[in-house]
Amino acid sequence: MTGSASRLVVRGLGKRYGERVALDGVDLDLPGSTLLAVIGTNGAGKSTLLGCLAGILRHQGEAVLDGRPVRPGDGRVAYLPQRLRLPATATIADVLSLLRALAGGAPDRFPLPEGFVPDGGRRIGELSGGQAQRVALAGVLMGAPDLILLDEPLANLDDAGRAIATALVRAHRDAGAMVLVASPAALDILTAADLAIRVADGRAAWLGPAAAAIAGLDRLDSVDRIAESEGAA
Amino acid sequence: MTALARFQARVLLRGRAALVAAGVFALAAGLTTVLGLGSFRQVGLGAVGPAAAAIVNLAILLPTAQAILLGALGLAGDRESGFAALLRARGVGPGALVVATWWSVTAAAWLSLGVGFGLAALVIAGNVPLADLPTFAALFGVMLVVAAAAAAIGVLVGAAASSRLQAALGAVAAWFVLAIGLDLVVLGLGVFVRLGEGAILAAVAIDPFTSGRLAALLLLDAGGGVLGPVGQYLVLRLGAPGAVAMLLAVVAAWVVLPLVVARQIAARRDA
Repeated sequence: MTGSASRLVVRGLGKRYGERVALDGVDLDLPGSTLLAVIGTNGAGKSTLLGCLAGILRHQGEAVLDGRPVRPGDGRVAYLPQRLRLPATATIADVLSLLRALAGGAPDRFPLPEGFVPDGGRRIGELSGGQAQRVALAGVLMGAPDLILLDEPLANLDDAGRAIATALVRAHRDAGAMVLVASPAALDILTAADLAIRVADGRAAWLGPAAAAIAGLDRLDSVDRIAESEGAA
Repeated sequence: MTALARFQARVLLRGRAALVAAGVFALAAGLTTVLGLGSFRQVGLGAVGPAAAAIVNLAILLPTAQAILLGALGLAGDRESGFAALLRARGVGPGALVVATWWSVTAAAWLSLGVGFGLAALVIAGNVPLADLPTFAALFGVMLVVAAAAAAIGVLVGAAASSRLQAALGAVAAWFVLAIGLDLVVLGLGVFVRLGEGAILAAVAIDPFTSGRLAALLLLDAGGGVLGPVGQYLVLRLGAPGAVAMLLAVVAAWVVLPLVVARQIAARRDA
């Protein structure tokens, strides 16, 4: 998708691990405030794409948001890594307090719903995987980041947690943030997304409305086959 | 960075490892002091020197092992768990991450030293003149700097390692080389006899633990065989105050240089 009103412009984003190409020159133009679902099979390059955009992976190419190159530390990026494990001896309050400080003290766009995060005095090591994920998500979404990159944010969450997390992500999008969410379970996030990009073998294999991706899933019951159907068409 | 350093220190000090390390060192230091005082009193010698020297040797072994290991595991663990990536994306630079980790590990090692030396001071205070306590405090100060150097070396190992396991193995190897291995090599091969002055200075420069131990022993007015060939040479060339100053400068350099290199490595690799 291209357009003169593109807000996030990505050019030639690439990443190699030795001889292996993990991301192969991805170009992207996203307009306005967009919730983009990043879908694809395991090992397709979804996490690498988000990691490069977050600036935590050394890469080729460039990402520009609102006319300025995206750099870690410019205060605009919030990133939830895949399979994040917060320090076990930290309390929830410690983690949230640290992430609030790192968010530069900017007020939150939205208050967290009551009960989304367990009692602040509890240690991370005492929490279930889903509770720890809620804490991580709450911390990442603190402040008012312009570019939110979430790698499998719904992992381990129960139904209520998924609903709240999805609502929070949409609310950030509605308030002006650019949100990219990677998930191998495509339906999880496609229902909330505006656009979807299918990553395959490190390339942007397909980019289009999320609704079209869902239709593809309904028809073929497989994310992988979207590309096949596109090719056949 | 202050917020991160405080966070890392809290996380570390709440962990079992820091408490166990502090307890073990305190127990060993207390026991060593009691035994040292008792044995030397029997032969009619002032005992604070020997007892304090024994604690110095303990401090070279235990808190340094703690600092190297925790330093290495801290940085490598944060990278492996994705926590470093979360922090880097939020603007924590590689230098800040390195320094915050170093500071928290140093604080944990200092806690161990504080508890151990504190217990030893309580024992000594009832047995020796108060005039000896400033020397004891100076020893404590030297050991704080040595522990800070060990933490910096651990952080460097953690920055270079690709996994927690590799970091742990690297930390154990580094500790063994610095605490024991280099001494064995130097003594076993008779390096000084063959290579002379240059080898002596190199032996001081490459081993912050030995430098710290020698500085501490010189503060205790130790001499002869206790100092070893390196210590005797330095006293001969620089005098005791000059030797202490030089040795402390070496240890201080070992605090700064590993952190600088660790920052460079962290900046050149994926978070």
